[in-house]
Amino acid sequence: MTNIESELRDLLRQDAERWEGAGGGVTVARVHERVRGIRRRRIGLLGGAAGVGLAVAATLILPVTGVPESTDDTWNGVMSAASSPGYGVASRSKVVLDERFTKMGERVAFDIPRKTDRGNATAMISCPRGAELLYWEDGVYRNALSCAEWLPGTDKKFRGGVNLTVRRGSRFEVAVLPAGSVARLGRTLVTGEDARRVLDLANGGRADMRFRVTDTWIEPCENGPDCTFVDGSTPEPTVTVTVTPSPPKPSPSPSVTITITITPVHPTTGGTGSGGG
Amino acid sequence: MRDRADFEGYVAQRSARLLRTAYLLCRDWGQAEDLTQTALAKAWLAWRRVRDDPDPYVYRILANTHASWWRRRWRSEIPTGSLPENVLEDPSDGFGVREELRTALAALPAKQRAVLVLRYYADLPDGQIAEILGCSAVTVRSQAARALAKLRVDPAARAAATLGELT
Repeated sequence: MTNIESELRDLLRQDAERWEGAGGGVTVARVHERVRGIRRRRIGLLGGAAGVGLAVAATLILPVTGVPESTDDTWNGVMSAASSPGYGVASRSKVVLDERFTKMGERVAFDIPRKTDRGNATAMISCPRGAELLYWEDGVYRNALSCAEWLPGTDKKFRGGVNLTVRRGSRFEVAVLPAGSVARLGRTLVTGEDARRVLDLANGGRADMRFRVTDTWIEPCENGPDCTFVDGSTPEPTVTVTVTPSPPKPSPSPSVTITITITPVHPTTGGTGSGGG
Repeated sequence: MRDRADFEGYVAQRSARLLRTAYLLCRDWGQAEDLTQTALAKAWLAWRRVRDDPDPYVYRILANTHASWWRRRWRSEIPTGSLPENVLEDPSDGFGVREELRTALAALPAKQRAVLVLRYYADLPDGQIAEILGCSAVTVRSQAARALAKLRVDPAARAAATLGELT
């Protein structure tokens, strides 16, 4: 590496570490706020485009066909309907890699299998609580984490381990280090070079550790113990109503006949009813 | 729900580093926060498509959004309360030299700066940088070479390199 390259690397790292935190940083809440803004703008643009489209269509069509005469016996309305429970989904998972390892203080590589292309591949690394973990993806340093993550749905206690989303078919390397190893660097760990330096400075050791990759995906479902609906409730039967008006009659007080077909769509309530009015 | 948890985990893990990368692109922390939030928000809107490997997508949005902001800003005046001070050009003054290198870096076109930041700060290989910037690896290498050549011919950058050799 030339001098200008190493000078540049130093300069970039030094500048990146000078975070002033003036704006409070990036938080999930702020990102979601930005998402809402983008959605509002997109809807606005869509509405505007639709408006322009309608105006153009009206300009082109109306002079040719003319405005249709309004008829007195036309009834427009919206019928109230039972709220839909939405779609049912079931979460499925499968362990695709489960390996144990014991060496601390050095990089241990795992090849993430490409068994399915569905959903996420999540790695859970069990490591001594408080230990530090560095990881690389396809040889590129990614991040440093602490082996003390809250694992929801377990025993509601802190456990040693971290959860990460991993890329299928990639080579994933982890180095578990004794607590306090990153601090030995004497500055913020930012680059791959820093990570290598931390590894050089760290002590070795042994512990029972485990690297487990699980494929998790969602499948649509209608029933079953794992099937949950979007609102979490047992769905009410949904009905489809079809209204067919009778042909117009020339009598002075016209009556309208409608046929209502009710079709329950929930699988637990069979049968089809019909009525007239 | 799972997607949301994944995304929030990604934001928690990567936002600090993305923010620093964004800062190196635009040299303004407020704008860097804006850039990072925009990139992450767009990533969330496309999460189902990119969740397996969101980094290239997020970096691409960072680089593209910054490039478009940079083009817009380039054509406009920037109001300032005070005149910028000239930095001393004494090559023996290490801080001043570094400041000059910083200035030379900031004067590079957005794409060349993005190549340098992704290569020397994010430590990404040229192939991945090419994917992010939507060009070939050959273009990445030529852009990097041009940018480094500009820094080398810049008197301050050359002085910084010489100073590095002496120390």
